[in-house]
Amino acid sequence: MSAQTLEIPRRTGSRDTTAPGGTAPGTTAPGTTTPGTTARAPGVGAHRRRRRGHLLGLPAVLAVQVAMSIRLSATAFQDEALYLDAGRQILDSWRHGTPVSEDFGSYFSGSPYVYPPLGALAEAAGGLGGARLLSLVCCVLTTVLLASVSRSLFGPGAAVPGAAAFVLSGPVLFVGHFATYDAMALMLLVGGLALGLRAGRSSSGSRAAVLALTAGFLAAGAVVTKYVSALFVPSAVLVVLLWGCREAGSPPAAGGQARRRRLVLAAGSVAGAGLAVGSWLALTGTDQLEGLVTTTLSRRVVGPTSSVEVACRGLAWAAPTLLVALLGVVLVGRRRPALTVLLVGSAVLPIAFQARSGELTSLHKHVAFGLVFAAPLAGAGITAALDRWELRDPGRPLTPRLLALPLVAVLLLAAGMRSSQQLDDAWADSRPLTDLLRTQVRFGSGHYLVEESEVPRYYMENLTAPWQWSGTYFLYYRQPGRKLAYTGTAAFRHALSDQYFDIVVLRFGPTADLDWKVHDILGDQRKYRQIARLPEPGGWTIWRRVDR
Amino acid sequence: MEFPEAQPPRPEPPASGKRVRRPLAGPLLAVAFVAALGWLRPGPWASGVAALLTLAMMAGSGRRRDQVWIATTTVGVLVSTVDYLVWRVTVANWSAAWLAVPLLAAEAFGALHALGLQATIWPRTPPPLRRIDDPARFPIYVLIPTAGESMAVLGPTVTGALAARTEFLRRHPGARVHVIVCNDGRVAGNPTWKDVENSVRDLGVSCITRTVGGGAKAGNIESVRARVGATGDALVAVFDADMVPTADFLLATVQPFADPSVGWVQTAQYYRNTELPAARWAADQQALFYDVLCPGKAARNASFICGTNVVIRAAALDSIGGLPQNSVTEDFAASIRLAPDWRGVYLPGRFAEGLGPVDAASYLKQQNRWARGTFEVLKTRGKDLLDPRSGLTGAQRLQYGLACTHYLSGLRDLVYLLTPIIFVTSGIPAIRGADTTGFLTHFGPFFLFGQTAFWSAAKGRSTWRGIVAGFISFPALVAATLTVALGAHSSFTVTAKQRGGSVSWRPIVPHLAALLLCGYGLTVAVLGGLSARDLIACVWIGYMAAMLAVFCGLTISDMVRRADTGSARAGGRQPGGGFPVALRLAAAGLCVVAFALAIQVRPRTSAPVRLSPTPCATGMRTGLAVTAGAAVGYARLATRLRMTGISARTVEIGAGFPTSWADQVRATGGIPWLTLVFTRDGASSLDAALPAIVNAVQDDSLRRWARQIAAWGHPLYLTALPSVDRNYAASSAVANGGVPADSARAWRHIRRVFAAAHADNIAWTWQPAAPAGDTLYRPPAGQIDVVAVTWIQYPGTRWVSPVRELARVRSAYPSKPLLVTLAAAGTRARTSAWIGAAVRAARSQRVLGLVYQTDGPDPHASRAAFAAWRAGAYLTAAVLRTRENRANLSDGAAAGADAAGAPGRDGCGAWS
Repeated sequence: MSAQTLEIPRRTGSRDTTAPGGTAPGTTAPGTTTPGTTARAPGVGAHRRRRRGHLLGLPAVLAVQVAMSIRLSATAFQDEALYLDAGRQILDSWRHGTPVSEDFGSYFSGSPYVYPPLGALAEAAGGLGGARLLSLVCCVLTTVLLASVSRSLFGPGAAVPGAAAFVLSGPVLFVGHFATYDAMALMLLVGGLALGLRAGRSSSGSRAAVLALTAGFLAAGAVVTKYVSALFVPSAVLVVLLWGCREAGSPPAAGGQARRRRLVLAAGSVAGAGLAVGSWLALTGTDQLEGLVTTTLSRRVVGPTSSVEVACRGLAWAAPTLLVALLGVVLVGRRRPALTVLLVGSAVLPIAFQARSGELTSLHKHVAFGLVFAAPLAGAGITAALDRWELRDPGRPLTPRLLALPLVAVLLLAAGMRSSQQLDDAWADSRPLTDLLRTQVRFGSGHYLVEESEVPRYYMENLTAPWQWSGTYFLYYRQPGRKLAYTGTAAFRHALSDQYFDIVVLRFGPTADLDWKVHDILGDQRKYRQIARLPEPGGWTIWRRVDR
Repeated sequence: MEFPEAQPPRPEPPASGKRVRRPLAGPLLAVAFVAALGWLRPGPWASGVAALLTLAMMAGSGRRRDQVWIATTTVGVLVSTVDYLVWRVTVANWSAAWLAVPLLAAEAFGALHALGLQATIWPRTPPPLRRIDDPARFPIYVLIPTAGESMAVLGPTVTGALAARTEFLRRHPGARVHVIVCNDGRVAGNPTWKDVENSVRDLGVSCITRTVGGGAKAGNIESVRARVGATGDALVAVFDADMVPTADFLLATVQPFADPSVGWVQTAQYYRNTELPAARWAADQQALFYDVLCPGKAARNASFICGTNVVIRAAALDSIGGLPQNSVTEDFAASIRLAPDWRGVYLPGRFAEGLGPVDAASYLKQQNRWARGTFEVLKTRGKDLLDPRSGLTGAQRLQYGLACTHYLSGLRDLVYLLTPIIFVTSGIPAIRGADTTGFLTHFGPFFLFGQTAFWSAAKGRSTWRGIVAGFISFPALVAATLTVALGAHSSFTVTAKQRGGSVSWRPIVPHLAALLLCGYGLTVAVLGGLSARDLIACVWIGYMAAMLAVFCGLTISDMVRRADTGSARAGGRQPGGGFPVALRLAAAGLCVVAFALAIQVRPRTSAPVRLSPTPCATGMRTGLAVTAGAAVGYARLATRLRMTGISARTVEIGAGFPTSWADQVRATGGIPWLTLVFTRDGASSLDAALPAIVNAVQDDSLRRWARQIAAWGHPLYLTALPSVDRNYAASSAVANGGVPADSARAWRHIRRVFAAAHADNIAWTWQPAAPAGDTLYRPPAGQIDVVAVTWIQYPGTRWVSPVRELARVRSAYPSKPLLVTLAAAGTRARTSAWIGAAVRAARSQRVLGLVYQTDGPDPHASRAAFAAWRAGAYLTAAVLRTRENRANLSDGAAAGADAAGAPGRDGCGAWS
């Protein structure tokens, strides 16, 4: 008798005799095979399941992103407090005509009239958590848009893996729960990129024009929201152009039609960008261009750091996504060399840019912008790897090797989570300080000099007025009864000598030079008395004015 | 009937490819991942995230939903288990290792078996069976061992076997199928063995009765096998006496023997007497094994021979010298010995039906027997699972290892039962250094993933009854563990197939004891006040108590029904009938807990008595005040001095409302007067500053005070911010960052907090150091109920004139009732005169009360200084007792007693 597969008619009782974990009725049971099932299992319905799966996969990635981001729960950072407070004041000025206390546009690194009011609205609805939720929404939308970008560039299979790779890194998780410009700018930038790619793919010329117009508007909006976004706009444009060339090379869109398409895209996006920038300048004036110049174009480096250290820090923050993107470089790079080079270059662009200038400030946030370009490549790499190892073939058995991928992802995410936690912990918990100041301040009377005063001012908005607070970066002081006015160190010394401030809080941090220069006045027992010294990491020292 | 000649043993078939060695890369990689997870300790979030990422990855791959699901849950179980166990090691209470280590071991055991379940049910397609031989030409022996079962049980089995033979012969006319009853009734001492023999023969079936015993069921089968020559290429089908095969049993089970590597074909056991509760529960538990685990084990060639409903190739049995006769689970022992060389096939589906345990006793006995057998196999064959030369594959080692250790779950459940009870009764925790949130964040994912994975595997196959049936086996399993561990003799016992008439509580005594323990633990925990940790322990105890209660209820109701069936009143309604005993027990448990909770709840007081102090019309209250220390001695002194109309005391914000003191004051007809200061342990802090009070820093404490005072519900005077106009006060409007304007703000804020708590029984007593000159500090008049004047007269200083001073205060507060606090330390004559003047002044201004500050202003003064201040109290009492004052005093005391006893009456210091 020749060896052949044995077929046994299976019999089912009242119970479901499905073999658990994969042997559904009618399929292969252990030790047996059932006629007809072998041919049916892999092919039928797989495509439909895959499509449904894509719909399920992206929410799962977004759930991970949300879960990981909302774990970060530090007290308000200086930037957050500053922008939200500015937003409140701007909203009040729009609603009630009250003047804002400062010219925010002169030193903000983005337009004070775009994100800050929106952040303040969210903050009014839900406190700091509400403002951070707005950032989280922006970041989640960024991930969704990034899935679209990955799909456009590398096919449907790269969408979910690309989105997953994006959320692995610490800076992305951090920005997702950080109430500043970054998340919104990121969303607008990726939105512009995604729409640009869709415009190139659109079959209708008018639709392509509208999409290009919107893409240009969003990209310019990103720049207006946060000026440093301008660094990434050329990369986004190049990606669209490269992809456009590739599409144009395909038969349906060849020759003059392709040229016309490019012309439409270019004109549309330029018009959109012009619209955004024009609206911005028309609505808010040109004064804030000063901020653009001082914070971005001719920025003076604060606390220069060695290039190597900056590069190392940046690469460490970006590592989880970049490592996966390397897989894409290896597996996809040869097929798409130009695009691969462009994406990798754009991913490390902020690191290289800041390493060159030795600027560490905000690098972690800018790394998140770079990762927008690494993620699609990472997605393509994962897809290629899965295909190469035949792990995505539904016709093949479910091997335990599959589990290696999520486990590796968890390890990478753990690394990203750790770095996001470190970023979150970099700012000392301000609760001890605000708790202490709460015992000292009173509304409408008293002046308080606090190093990084934005945070207590933000938290004690209901207990004090903004004008009661002064920071250690700048002070304009006019002595009472005299016409002499001072700025700089002299202003601080005179103000302290005159016991102008009721409470003084220093931590010898970013303005340690100034702190040491006025320290002798605070040591004068006739003028100020130290009432507390809070432990590290805050390390604040608090003096109270001695009653005359 | 004649049996064919015994045939020579068939040469062993070549191994069917199952022994191909797999590379170690996979397991090593898995170990590396687990180690990396354990080392990195990403946190409890990792399990959820890993599961979500797996879902994201698998969902887009086009795989079926069940594959996506099992991959997702497996990752979740793996990561959450590693996280939980690593965390548990770090928080084990090593100082109470006797408690912590068993719990840790029990949890690790449970976790490993949860992972084992995932490894078992992970989809795996076994190699297809080959068609090489024609199994229909093999002689088939259908053996039905019996050891005393009646024909009522045995008859249907024999009939079913004949039907299966008929059906097989109809399809394969040339086949040779012999049905034989292997009667051990004689050696078992059953008097009806002959009747069984005769009855079986009447059915046309051979019956072989042993005359020499030994080897229990395995010995019986082996004896018959040797007798009839069922060796070599013969196939041996075995059925327990109650297992009735279906007509197509042989058709289905013989066919796989076409593959010469197949050593046995096992089918599931189902019970047909599931109308009996015990059988139904046992069936649900069995289903977990047969419907969930067996297919997975078979896919890894690690299936079992389960002793019945099985067809075994005789050559396979020959190769191991027959069924092992030194084990009460000879089938399982044989499986491990056969596994290296033969392939076991498991056929899902209902191919035979038998009788499940008829009652709790027989169920527990069955569990005990299986556990004993498994442990004996572990003891005798355990080394094969580790020996690299045993020929077992890695998957077989894992699966048989899991099976061999499964019944240690009895010890695990016992530890799970006892640990929380020990914790709530003794306070000794098995976990230390972890808060409730930490516990829940690590345990939550571990528990949820474990449960999700389990129930998704068991869905449609088993129910909660299977879980309960598994848990309540723990006494039987623990007994089995001890029996084997201590090397005690164990014998094969047949599970009862028919119900006897006797009703015994004995099988559930351990469960009732455990239930009582749970009740005791819950009661102790509830009476002791539930902390979050206690609550977790109570939930766990409650969970186990519920399972025990359900089982005891089931058993008791079963016993009642049996007793009732046996009685003449059959069909009559039971007392309290209509509700299952399980429900009745659960209700009784709830009543106990509710009672315990009820006696814990402090009876709510009625709404606070609203007060409105009015100027004294007929007299004034007098009393003593104490600043620091216990008030007990002063209470006695006040009684002796008959100064109990009012009693004053200073309390710190961090303390609680002195309810017993206030009750005592009230019982003596007095009214408490509390002065609330914002110091902590006598020390001032920044939190005591007026801006701090205004900015709500003290609100939590204030709210607590307000709630407690409102709950007390009786009238009292309350002073906040005493001497706010002086720099020595903790809450000062002239020091510590305070400014005069802060005083009124802070006062308003405090009153607002108390008003929000409806503490309306307070007379707000404003007590600056200089009430006549407090314009800068004073709250609005409407915010003050009473004004207190304080006169502390130090020796060697100029003392105030009470008449003039009180007149100034009266002019500053013309409409406010006044209270006077006084103290003086000087010569007897001077002090007496001054106190006399003070009393006269107070009376002339119709003050509400006069309080002598017994311990002086300095709590740290010397004993001599204390004595000097205290002497003033006696002098005050003496002055008050003069003839001139006595009448008024008695009026005042009476008014006070009336006020205390019946609030709302008019008079000195009355409340409305």
